[in-house]
Amino acid sequence: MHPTDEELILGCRRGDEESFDQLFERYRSKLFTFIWRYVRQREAAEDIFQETFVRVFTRAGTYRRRAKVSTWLYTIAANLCRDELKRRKRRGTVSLDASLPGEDPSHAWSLALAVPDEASENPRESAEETEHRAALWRAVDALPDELRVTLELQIVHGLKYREVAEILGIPLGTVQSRIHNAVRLLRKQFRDVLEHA
Amino acid sequence: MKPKDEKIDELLINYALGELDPDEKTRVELMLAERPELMREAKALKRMVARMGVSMIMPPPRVVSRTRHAAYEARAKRPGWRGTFVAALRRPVTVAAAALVVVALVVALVGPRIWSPGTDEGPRPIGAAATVSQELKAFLDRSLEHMRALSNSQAPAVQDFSEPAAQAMLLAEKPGCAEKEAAVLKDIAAVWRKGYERVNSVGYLSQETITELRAIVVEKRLVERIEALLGT
Repeated sequence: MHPTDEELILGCRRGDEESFDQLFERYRSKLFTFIWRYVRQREAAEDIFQETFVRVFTRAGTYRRRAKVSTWLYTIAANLCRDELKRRKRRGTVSLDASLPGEDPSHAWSLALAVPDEASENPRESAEETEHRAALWRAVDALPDELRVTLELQIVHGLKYREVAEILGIPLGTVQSRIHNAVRLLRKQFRDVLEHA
Repeated sequence: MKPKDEKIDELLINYALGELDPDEKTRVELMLAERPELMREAKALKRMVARMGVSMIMPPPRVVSRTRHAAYEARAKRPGWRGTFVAALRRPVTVAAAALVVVALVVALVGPRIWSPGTDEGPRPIGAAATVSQELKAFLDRSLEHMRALSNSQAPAVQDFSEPAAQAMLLAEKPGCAEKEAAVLKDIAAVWRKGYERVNSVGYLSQETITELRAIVVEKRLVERIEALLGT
């Protein structure tokens, strides 16, 4: 039987490396995706990813049961990402386009060419569908930062509005209005595609 | 978009994102069955959400290995109970509490021998009043800074809210503490206790909580009352 996240956190509290490894395996790709998309800079993302898990293992004792473990993990990462963006802003890194200051110009953080989850079930996805998906992700990438991060936590990471609010430290109503606005912006851009698909 | 349409639109978005409770979901589905144009819209939204389902990005192997190593190392360096005890001794509150216990013991054991006999004021422990007053002043100085930050809707620079709450209550219960000072200290403790209840699982204080704490600071006029006690 697989241990629950809470059981793994209890193991981390005792300093059990096996529990830490299991938790790390469960969340490494989700948190790396979240962090990289948030800060859009490879080096910073790697450092934040490392610091997130260092904190998980060294501060497991501060986890409180009123939040889900996944929420706690994302909150640690989100706080570190926010600090990184504040640091960049203070340093005055200037961006000449709509991208975040200091982000990777290679756009390696973009999910426009990412493989869909259901790819294994539908290996012959049409070229047109692939292009629609890529275009949608390019539009998501161009959303204002706060709308994009909020929307992705809900859709890509499968978190509920309430959890997103906890992670970002904002009221539930703000999460809802950010997501509604993000969806409306995307829908406006993809009206034709959506109606004829 | 009209307000009514906007409300329906929000319901459709929440429906497509799976954010409705079972009752709301049933109501929306009944509405969709009656209105084909909304049904088309809901399907299109669901399709858009489905298109955003992608595989996650895997961290590169060198980052995985570096992260694991750093976490093990940091955990191994973390102090055990001895280290925690030593660290606790370094904390001002613990030091102050320990100092109080020592002072109380000294007073109980040798106090009667050094009190001046035969005065009208009765026995007075030497130097104890000065220590309490200095400690109180230092605490009020720090509290003033934090309460000013809160009254400006800013997060106070405090890591663990339970610590100043406990310190305020300890100071308020000290024998040398005047009634007026104790009342201010208890109100300060109430602010930190509320903060402690609201702070999220990793110590992040939301703007909503800051607004809540600010309301207490303003209502209790804490900045002015602390300033009055400090004579500033």
